[in-house]
Amino acid sequence: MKIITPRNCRLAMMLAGMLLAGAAVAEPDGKSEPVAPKAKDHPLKEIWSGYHFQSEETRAQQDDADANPAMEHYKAGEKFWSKVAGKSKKSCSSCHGDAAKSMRGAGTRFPLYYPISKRMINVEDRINLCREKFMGAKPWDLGSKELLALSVFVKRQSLGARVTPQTSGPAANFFDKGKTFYTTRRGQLDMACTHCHDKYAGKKLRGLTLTQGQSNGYPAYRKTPGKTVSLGQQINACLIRVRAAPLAAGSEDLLNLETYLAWRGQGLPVETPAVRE
Amino acid sequence: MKFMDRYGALVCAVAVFAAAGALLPLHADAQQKKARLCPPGRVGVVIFKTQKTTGLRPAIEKPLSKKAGDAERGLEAIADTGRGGCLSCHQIAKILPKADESDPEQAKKYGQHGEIGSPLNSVGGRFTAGELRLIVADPQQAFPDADIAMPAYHRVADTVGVHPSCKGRPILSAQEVEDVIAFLKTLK
Ligand code: HEC
Ligand code: HEC
Repeated sequence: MKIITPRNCRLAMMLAGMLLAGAAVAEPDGKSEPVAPKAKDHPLKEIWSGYHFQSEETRAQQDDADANPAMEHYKAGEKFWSKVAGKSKKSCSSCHGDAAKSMRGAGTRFPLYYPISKRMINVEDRINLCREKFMGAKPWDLGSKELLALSVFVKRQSLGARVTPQTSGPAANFFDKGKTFYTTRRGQLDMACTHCHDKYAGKKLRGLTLTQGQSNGYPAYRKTPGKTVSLGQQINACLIRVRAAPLAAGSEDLLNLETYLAWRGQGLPVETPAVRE
Repeated sequence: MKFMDRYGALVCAVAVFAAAGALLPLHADAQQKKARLCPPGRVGVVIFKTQKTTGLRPAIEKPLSKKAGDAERGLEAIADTGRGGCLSCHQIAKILPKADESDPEQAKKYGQHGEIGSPLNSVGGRFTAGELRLIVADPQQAFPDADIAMPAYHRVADTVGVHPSCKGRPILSAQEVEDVIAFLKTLK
């Protein structure tokens, strides 16, 4: 029997073509291939997700929803989504319906400029605004389990979608302030975020490999200290590390910084909840 | 936690993350602000001047303390993540034998070396004591063009956002700087 018939050959070529097309379609996601920054004044030549710098074991833990410790918050958030609360006896789903549809993309857009308070807000703030305005319920404490759960749930609806932050228009001023914060030396150790995350990503700081300090995986599970933290909490851990005063929850400084971080990670896929060493 | 009570320098990543209080929930930020990262006692403004030197590089020729530096205590300050924390960024091959694998604490203290700064293996031969004194006390003065990522260990940080418990305090005392230099001079 002849193996290489014209028909077989055509089939093989079609297969190869499909593979090639597939490879061309899959854009780099900062995990094994870096994302190229679109902005000309971007400080990084290559944008890498924190995922890229983790061990095989940690990556596998993130990739497997059953093994990812932060998924307990996702499950809790799923319950809150349809739980009625407040004076108007509504739940999130009363207004938004199926989260998989209505919340897809939400995790890629924040922080967003919010005209009423004239500042940037993140997903946590947005959830609290909905509670206050539409549900007649008390806003949750920033740092509460409830808010952590629901923000993990909402952000994960954008899993794999690219971060496309708002930095122009009314956001520009806040973005600039965030950038200044990021590049300013501070704390008793007199170091800026840039010193660890722009200059030395991939290098060891004692036992830990430094990443680019990207925000696309947050809230994320940190193996040390063994809990799921919001982006604000992670930033404060870094500030405490250099012996700087931590930022108040929900403060403008923190939101400005989150705005800058989102721009810095433009084009990275949302990974919430990520697992990091 | 004991090391949190120690006065200190670069708090190594692992140590800070492991430390209670490093990741307090955000609503407790008032508490976080009050938490002591720097213990009381080491008050006072540190004044030193970069002196004209006989060599090519800027230096502080005059010792900062009356008592001569002690190399052994210097190594302790270097390895202690709550004080020097130098190993967070630098390697020192000479001390690896101290990282006894059978003792996890020793192994962690002496065996984990960072890659941010270059290895310190031969600095004792390449720099004078005066040059090392300035590098440790205020590396931005020692390497003015480098935007150096190394903390200034004996300059009272006049920077932004210093944690309230650390305001007005240097990372290492004058005596500790002398001890560290005594150890660095043994690296040839
Ligand atoms: C002294 C070093 C140092 C400085 C300065 C520093 N960080 Fe970090 N940062 C770390 C370490 C270590 C980690 C944990 C490993 C990693 O993800 O890089 C980390 C992690 C992060 C992460 C999580 C990244 C991920 O993928 O999980 C973010 C976000 C971050 N830092 C932001 C900041 C910001 C913003 C600043 C300035 C306010 C800052 N860092 C300053 C050392 C530092
Ligand atoms: C946050 C990182 C960091 C810490 C902590 C740190 N250094 Fe450095 N150090 C650097 C960098 C970066 C340089 C400049 C580049 C280089 O030479 O490696 C440097 C340079 C030096 C040099 C000059 C080396 C040479 O060959 O030019 C000496 C000496 C030195 N450091 C000693 C120390 C000592 C002693 C400590 C602790 C008391 C310390 N460093 C803590 C990052 C650090």
